[in-house]
Amino acid sequence: MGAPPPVVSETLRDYGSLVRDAVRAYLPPVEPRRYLYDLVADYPGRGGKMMRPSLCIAVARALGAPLDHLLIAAATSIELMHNAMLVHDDIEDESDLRRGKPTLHTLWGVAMAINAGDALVIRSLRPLLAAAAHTDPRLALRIIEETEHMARESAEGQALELGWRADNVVSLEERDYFEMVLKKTCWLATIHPVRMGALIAVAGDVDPAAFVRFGFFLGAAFQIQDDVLNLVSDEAVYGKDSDGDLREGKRTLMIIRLLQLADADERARLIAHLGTPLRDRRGDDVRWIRARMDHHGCIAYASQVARGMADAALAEYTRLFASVPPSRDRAFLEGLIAWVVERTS
Amino acid sequence: MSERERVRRPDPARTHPLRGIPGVFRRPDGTHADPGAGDAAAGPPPASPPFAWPGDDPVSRALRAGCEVVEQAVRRGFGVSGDPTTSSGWAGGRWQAPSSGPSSGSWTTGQWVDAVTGAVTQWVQWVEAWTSMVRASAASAASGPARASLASPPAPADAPAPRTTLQLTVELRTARAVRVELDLTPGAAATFEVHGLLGPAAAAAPPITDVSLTLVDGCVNVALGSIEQHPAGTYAGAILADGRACGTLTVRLS
Repeated sequence: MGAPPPVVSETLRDYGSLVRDAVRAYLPPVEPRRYLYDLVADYPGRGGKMMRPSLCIAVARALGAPLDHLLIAAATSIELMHNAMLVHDDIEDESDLRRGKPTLHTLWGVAMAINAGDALVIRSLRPLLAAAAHTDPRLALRIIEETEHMARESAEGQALELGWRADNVVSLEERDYFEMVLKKTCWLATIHPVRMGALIAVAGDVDPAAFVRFGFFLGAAFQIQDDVLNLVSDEAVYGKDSDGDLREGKRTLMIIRLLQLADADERARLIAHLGTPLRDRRGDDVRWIRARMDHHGCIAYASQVARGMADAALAEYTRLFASVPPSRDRAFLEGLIAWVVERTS
Repeated sequence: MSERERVRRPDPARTHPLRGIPGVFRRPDGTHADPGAGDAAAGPPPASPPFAWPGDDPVSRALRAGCEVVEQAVRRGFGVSGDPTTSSGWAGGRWQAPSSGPSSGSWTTGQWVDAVTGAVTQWVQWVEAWTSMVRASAASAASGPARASLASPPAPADAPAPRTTLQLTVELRTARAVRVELDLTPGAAATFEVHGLLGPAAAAAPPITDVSLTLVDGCVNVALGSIEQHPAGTYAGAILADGRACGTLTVRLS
């Protein structure tokens, strides 16, 4: 899988700009600004890759949908929901950095950040409700239900990961990891945007389950690459805490692999680190885990799995879209598969 | 053009518009792509994924695990789902079936959803079979309401053996040829709302509003009337229970 074609960055830029404008329109600087709406607008104003809304728009347009109010509303809703979940995820993960700046709860405290996240969740429904007035009610209802479904899957996936960390679960296999990633990452990042785009393109007359495989493989490749970047990327480029996943004890593919390969002493030390409260974890242990991962080839292993997932996504893409007429959007969808595993931030 | 010169072709075999993804994604050879994935009408998904990693190396094993995870997810269906709070929930990594459901024990998610999906699929098949019977009955009566109590209907010949006993009544106050499809989430509440079935926009058809759906003592009753003047076409509407969508009712008028 070679370098992603320029159409990927160009489309992310173009659709991203479109959706950012729409997001801003839904986050006006109204009172109470100081304690709420400035916080609500913080993460969306920091940029972001805009992969999710671009994916939704591109799927719909590749299937012949016009770039109309409903499609933009769906993409805007997805981006708002994504930002809302980031606020809460950062609190749950006790993360310090988001998009190169301190996380919202670091700046304003946990209570205000939770409230801002709540407001963003609710706000994410507004574009859909506004568009519903001009949409076939059956399609509008399906879109709302899709959104509810996605949010529920995401919450279940996040619960799995948080529960594993809370209970210091270490008897995990790759299958467990993929179950968690399917729910925690793939639904919001890829499956939901793809399904929404398809639903809109064919006015709801589609079984959106047809897109689950493509969304899963693409999303899993994206998540694994994200986990790899957390370990190998420059913090200034990556925009999040380097080695933050190790400090937070996230059950990544690399950690699961290390647990499988570690000898008894290594395994005992790793389990002890994972069972230590976050505030008491030592930087020495984080560096030691990172070194053992290098020793056992865990990062290279995860990168290979990410590429295998990208290959599977390409196979699914071909199966789904081979008969769709060539277009810039179709080229973007194909190129995006390479982009998720080749990106550096 | 005289009657003798008129070219006649047989009616198309299809009974509903092919506007779904299988129709959208037509291959160059004219056949339809098979996106598979949980569509009851399309049959079960492929037995094996479209790609395989035959090696026994760790990467291949991990990729196979990922593939199995999504295949299992696809098998249990990923259409718009119901509200889990009404029936079940996660516990210890397993899905707890509702106490009033088919099992009070602990099922895996796949087992539970497979059972539910199978029941829904069968339900739709039965409705179609029963509707055919009722339509014939209504046509012969030609007047007055036709009502068929279908406590023990014959299943279609190719239908799998039923897992549970379901009762359903279809009440048609018309002699018109009608095909009814009911897609209802199992475990839905007893009181339903159906806010009119929207018709084909091109025909400027009014919605079918004389429709109701009730569930009494385990028997679903679909009542349909006042459709004599409606143009032919497909009419569909969402079924709501306690304000939540729990299925769809589709009526096709010939």
